[in-house]
Amino acid sequence: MDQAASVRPDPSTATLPEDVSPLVRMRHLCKWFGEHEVLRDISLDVDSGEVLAIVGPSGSGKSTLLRCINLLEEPSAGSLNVGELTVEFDHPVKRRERKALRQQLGMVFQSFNLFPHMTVLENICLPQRRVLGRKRDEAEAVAKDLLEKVGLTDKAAAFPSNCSGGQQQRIAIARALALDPRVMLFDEPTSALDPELGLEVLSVMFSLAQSGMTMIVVTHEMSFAEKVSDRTLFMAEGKIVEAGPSADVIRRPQSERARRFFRAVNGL
Amino acid sequence: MTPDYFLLLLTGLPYTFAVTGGALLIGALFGFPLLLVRRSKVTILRWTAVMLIAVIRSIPPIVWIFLIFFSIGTGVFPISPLSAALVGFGLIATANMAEIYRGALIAVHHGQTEAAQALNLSPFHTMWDVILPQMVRVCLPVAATYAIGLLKDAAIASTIGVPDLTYQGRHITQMTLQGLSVMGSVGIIYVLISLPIAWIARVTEAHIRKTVSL
Ligand SMILES: Nc1ncnc2c1ncn2[C@@H]1O[C@H](COP(=O)(O)OP(=O)(O)OP(=O)(O)O)[C@@H](O)[C@H]1O
Ligand SMILES: [Mg+2]
Repeated sequence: MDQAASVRPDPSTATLPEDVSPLVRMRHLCKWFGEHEVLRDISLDVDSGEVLAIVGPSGSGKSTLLRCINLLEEPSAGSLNVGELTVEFDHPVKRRERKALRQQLGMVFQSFNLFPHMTVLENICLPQRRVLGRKRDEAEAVAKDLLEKVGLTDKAAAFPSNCSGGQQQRIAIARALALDPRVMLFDEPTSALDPELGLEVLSVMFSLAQSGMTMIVVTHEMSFAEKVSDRTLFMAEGKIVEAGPSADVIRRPQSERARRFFRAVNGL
Repeated sequence: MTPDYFLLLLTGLPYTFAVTGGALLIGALFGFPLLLVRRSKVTILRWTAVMLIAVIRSIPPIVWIFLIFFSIGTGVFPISPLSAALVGFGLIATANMAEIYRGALIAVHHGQTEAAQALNLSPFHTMWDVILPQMVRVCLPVAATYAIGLLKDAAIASTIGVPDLTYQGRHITQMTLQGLSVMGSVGIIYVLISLPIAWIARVTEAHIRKTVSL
């Protein structure tokens, strides 16, 4: 117990020492929806190349935390730092800040959110052309390369509605990767999928992790958290309750709250 | 009814098309900016648009047409019956198209905007490349149905002297006293115009199921 505690000095935050410079750094992040405090004083660091899993009960604020990182939700207080960019939430976020932040982040949603009126190839090319100003040829070359990586070369000309859920999610991953993000955010990427289709997505994520991509993954898949992620964060009621090496947090949770959660997940 | 009269009847067709098509075009063009004002973050602008749409839609088309033709048209500056009809029905179509667009915007899944934002598309490109094309697809069947309603309303233009299909029908009836065959023909012509529009509505609706909603 003492030994475990020394690995995880402060259970309520997941930060590195101040002199180490992480890729993503959050300090005292709070988010209110009206009267409802959904994120309470979150401080968190994610290192370059690290895979961080976020787990916790429904409504604990996992999605909100992820959405605060790319400003789909605007935090109410605190600060956020991605790469060289720091955003303080003591003022409304400026458009320039939002752009510069999102430039570094890719996001994958539970519901895929491919553009249904475009072919798979167009889905991956359009953002490259609009956001990075790539020429059509260049964008298509990038898209085809990524489609090959996610094993969907033959789907380039198809519409999303003619792809399975697992295929759509892999295309969504390719679409996000095409913009060369430094960090990929995943919000329960497999929970809308049959286990078998989920597996194809997980294997793409696994090779992405192997390639050194920095990833923050909200997930209900404990096996993914344990096998792929370097660290796991357990959240409840808007707070980080535990954080540490995945095996420790999942196998030997320290807090009663986390123990209760993992017991329920494992069906005990 | 003799062929001569039938040809006379048909001279009304261009006017019927002009009023209906013109109003629809005006509505399709101005309805979009009106929708943007309707969804503006500025409260006063938003409420002005809400009020405007409500007022335009609650006054019967015939009252609008009379208002424009007999008050503005005779008072401040004279206005031809056709122009009055175009202004009146254009106004009404603008309000209705703004509401049709609004429904379509709501129908486009919220995740689409979020995905576009997460991909860092600008607000303009989010609208232009992602939302608008899906809105158009959702709109088409509703707009086609609305066009049929407008086609029928446009007959009101005959009351201020636009020589459209209905106007010619009444005119010929008065000359020949053959109401059944003349107005029957008018009715059949309206049906024949409506059918292809209704067909467009059905086909586009089926198409939407495939390419937009998931
Ligand atoms: N836009 C919003 N407006 C108001 N309340 C919100 C909004 N989004 C989320 N919430 C609330 O914030 C809390 C946290 O939601 P969040 O979606 O982050 O939880 P979660 O941990 O992702 O849950 P789940 O596992 O079910 O996805 C919930 O109580 C939710 O009702
Ligand atoms: Mg969630």
